Amino acid sequence: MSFSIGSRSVLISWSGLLLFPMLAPLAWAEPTQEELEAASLLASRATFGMSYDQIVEMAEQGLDEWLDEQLNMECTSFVKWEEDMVKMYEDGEFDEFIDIFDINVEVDNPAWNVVSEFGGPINTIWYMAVRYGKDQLCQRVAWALSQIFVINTETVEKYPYSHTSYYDILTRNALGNYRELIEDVTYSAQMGIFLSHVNNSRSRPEKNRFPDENYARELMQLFSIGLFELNVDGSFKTDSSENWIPTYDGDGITNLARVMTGFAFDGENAQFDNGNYGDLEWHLPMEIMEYHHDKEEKVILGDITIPAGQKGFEDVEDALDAIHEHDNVGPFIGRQLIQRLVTSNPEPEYVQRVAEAFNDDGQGVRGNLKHVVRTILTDPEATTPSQPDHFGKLREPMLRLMNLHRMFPTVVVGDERGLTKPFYTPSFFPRNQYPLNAPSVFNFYSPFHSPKGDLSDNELVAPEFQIFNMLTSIDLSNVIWDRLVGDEIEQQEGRLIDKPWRTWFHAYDYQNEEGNIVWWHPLLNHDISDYVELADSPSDLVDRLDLVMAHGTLDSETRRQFIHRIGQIPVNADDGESDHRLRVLFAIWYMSFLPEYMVESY
Amino acid sequence: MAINRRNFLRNTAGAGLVTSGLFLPWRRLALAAEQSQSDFDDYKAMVYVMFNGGMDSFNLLVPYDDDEYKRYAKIRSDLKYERDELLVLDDSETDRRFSVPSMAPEIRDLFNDGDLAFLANVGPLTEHMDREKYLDETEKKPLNLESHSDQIAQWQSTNVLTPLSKQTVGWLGRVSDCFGSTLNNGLSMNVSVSGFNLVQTGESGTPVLNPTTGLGRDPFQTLSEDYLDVKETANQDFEFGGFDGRYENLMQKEYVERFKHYNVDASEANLVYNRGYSAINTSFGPEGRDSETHFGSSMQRIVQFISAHWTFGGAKRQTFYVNFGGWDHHENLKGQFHDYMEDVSFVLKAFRDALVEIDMLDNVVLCTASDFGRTLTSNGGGSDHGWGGNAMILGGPVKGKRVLGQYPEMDLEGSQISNTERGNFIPTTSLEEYYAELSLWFGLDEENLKDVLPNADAFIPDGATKPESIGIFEESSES
Repeated sequence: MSFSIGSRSVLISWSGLLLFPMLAPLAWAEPTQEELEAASLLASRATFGMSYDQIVEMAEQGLDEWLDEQLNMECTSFVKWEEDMVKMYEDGEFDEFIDIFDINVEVDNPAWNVVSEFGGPINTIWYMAVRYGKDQLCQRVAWALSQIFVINTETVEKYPYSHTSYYDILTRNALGNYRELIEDVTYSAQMGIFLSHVNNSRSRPEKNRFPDENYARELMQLFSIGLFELNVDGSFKTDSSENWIPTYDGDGITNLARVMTGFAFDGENAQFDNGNYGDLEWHLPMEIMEYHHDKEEKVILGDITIPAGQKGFEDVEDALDAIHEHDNVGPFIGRQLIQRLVTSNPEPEYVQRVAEAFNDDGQGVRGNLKHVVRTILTDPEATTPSQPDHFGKLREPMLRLMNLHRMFPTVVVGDERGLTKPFYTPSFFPRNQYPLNAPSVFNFYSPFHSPKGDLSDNELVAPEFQIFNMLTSIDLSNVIWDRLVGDEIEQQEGRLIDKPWRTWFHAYDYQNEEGNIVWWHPLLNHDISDYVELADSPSDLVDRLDLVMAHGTLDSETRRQFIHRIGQIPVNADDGESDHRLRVLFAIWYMSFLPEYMVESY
Repeated sequence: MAINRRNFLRNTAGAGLVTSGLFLPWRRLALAAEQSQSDFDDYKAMVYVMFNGGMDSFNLLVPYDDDEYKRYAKIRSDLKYERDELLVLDDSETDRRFSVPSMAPEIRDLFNDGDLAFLANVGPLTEHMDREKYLDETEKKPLNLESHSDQIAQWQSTNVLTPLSKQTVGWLGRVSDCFGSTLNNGLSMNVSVSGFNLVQTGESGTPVLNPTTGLGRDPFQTLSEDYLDVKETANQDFEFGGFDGRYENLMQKEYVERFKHYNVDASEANLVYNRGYSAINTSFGPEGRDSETHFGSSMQRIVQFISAHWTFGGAKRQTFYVNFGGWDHHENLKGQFHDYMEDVSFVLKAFRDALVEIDMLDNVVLCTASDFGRTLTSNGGGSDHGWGGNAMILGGPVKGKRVLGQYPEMDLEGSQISNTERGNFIPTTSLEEYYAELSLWFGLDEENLKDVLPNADAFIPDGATKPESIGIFEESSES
């Protein structure tokens, strides 16, 4: 399992998966421009970005077939990756690392400690899986789910497998069934800590103690049904005086909180009130200790009675069944998945079609997420160009980052210290968005965020704008400039070689107090050879970027202006490739701010 | 002359390049405010501290008299502070004795110095009510009580009956609208060191954002000068309206407009900040900690802004927003609350001391907000979402050493309890009463009160023109 790095080397993942670029297409009929644009559009929703070659291949394969393949692909296990990392440690492959970074290995689990020095394994594994994995659709949906079933890695203790096993719940169920998803989440130790239903004890009124309401509340408010009764098209039901109708009241919370009692960590050392997370087997679901479980009758969701005297797991099963069957789940969860994948303001008919797909997959199964995702991606509103003038969504920071790395494939450049195993830390990612790191259970942004101005006047929402502000917009633009163009210039001028340890965010400290380097971010090059060939013709270059980054939607006036700008970057025939590369990278950078890229629309 | 790349870039970028908007004021969206107040000749700043997550503030301000303490201790069971864990407050201006927990000696000192007052049991209300009224289903109550997201929005907007998706403007944003676009020579009144927020959003714009980590707009620090110009060329396309009016898609229009503003605003925000940077010396880092906390550095930055307010030909009114999150202490309340409150206490005193150092204490008022108070009864280690809570008001103009409003009885059967099992207090002071007094101090005309507090009528006594005073300030601001 070598991880050989070179400017043009083939990458092999830590788990031994081959990560070759897709094979060159067979000599089928060349796809039309229209077919390529449709493939690019699907790629912007169903993947973290596809290179030109991959878009061509999607078009040649046929989008239905491609989607089928993706929907049926097995999703990467993050736990498996972490196990591989631990094995690498045991095989001595981290020795040089431990040496150079002066890592304290005198702890119970030294392997994990090595990677925890770099912000925990979740960041590296997430990056590797998303950057190189073939299971793009599963990863996109899991990423969307991680923004609904939010946990925060800084709040949840960092222990081996704690984050990867939670993310596996999301990937495992991304194209599975919603009912299983909420069960896995409910029983997960990570959620038990994050929303504090672990060690949650039944009422003891004589001591003025009552069950913790945290998980009960957010399970209903955020993970399933929301605050108000919905019609199947996502519009609000109203009572006789035109008021929206609450889905539950305080009693409903209190009662569901009583269902969520008795949870304790499982594993060898399981016991109620165990606060020692170091021993936990994080992939095991919590178990319910009957002594601590509330045995009284509960009434939830207005009129659903959970009888007295049941076992804990029976209560939870009844409650999750009731939530799963609630009419709100289809429109509430469906709308959010549409927002993450396609558009911020789906028309009611679109929400209805997706909600109906949730309610019944055609085989009588409720909650089939594979069917829901297929419906979202193939819906007429998603695929027909004539849409209302609010169609689309702002691209999330993480999508922008991963788009660049996948559309213009990154190549890890080695360095003279011989460190060949890159780690990706939070500071590699955009400052306001990275895996499992929303500031609270309310995610990075609210699905209801409505920016003041034209959008709020038109009663439209635009969640991603909530984290698009003066700081983050300028910051990410600078980072993209530095990584694309700045690094290239410095490499060409031979300056970068002096500082192979530069961080993704150059402004971050990357040394510890003793002056040791504690973060290493790999130096990346972009494989843009195809584009370099186009660089002499700005209009061809712009059209290619338009196809890959904006599925051919560039405004004609913007296109003209863009071509003019590109033409201003001189290329010197005597300068080898370097001028051409700079022209291409500048063009990518410029394109990365154009409204047609930043807002996925038609 | 052979054109090489670097010369070319210099040449094309030379003529007509405007230096990153040095002389442009922060601009506000060009929406005319409905009303406009006249200029001010003094400087006032209001700091709005949001304790995100729902602070358990009945463990911040704790009754200390024997009987009341005993009732508190019984109800709060494992969440209670022992009596020897409490610092008693100067009771010369209060009718009963109160205390704060022992990790907050600075709050006690600020209180005893007369610079800090508590406002007891404040929160969102449709109108004043007791439990009987609360249980009457025909009476309107604030929407989605106990929901973090809704309650935060209601605290910031006072629109207690508005669903989250329709919350678009907040209290200080409306105040800014009333003051009009000529205030501060066009410099935005509302500055946030914690990102976007509702309270500072008005019809005429969103707050100017300033980071707490010192990055701001600093794109060029590692690049050779030759390439700045290339980048500047592209920035110009955005900053100078190269895309204006081209896009009909509303999302794209929004993006173009915002990116343009942010590009221009960012450079100017940094300029102001840099001028204030060296003005103060007070340490905002609690002792025993390695460095400043996030809250500390945010508050320090606010003082720096205040100290540099004169740099734009004299800003007259400024508000600052800072968010200190993480108060949702459903478990291990005593441990977590201790760490958080230690930070708050230290930093509030550092803030007061820094204002004294730059001689601005009499120009500044800080007020606090939090999603809700928390349940008095325990969930076995923590507390859950409640309703009314206790706020702090700090500053030179504040008549401190007092507990304002009505601190409720520690009695689960009391008439201000909405949920007798969990012990949630129905607020006795509304946000409108709290904010009205602050607004008037800030210079808002009384006749504009209802514009900034749309539900103010419910709290204005018959025949009066404003809510009854809760007495935050010295006589001078009482009419």
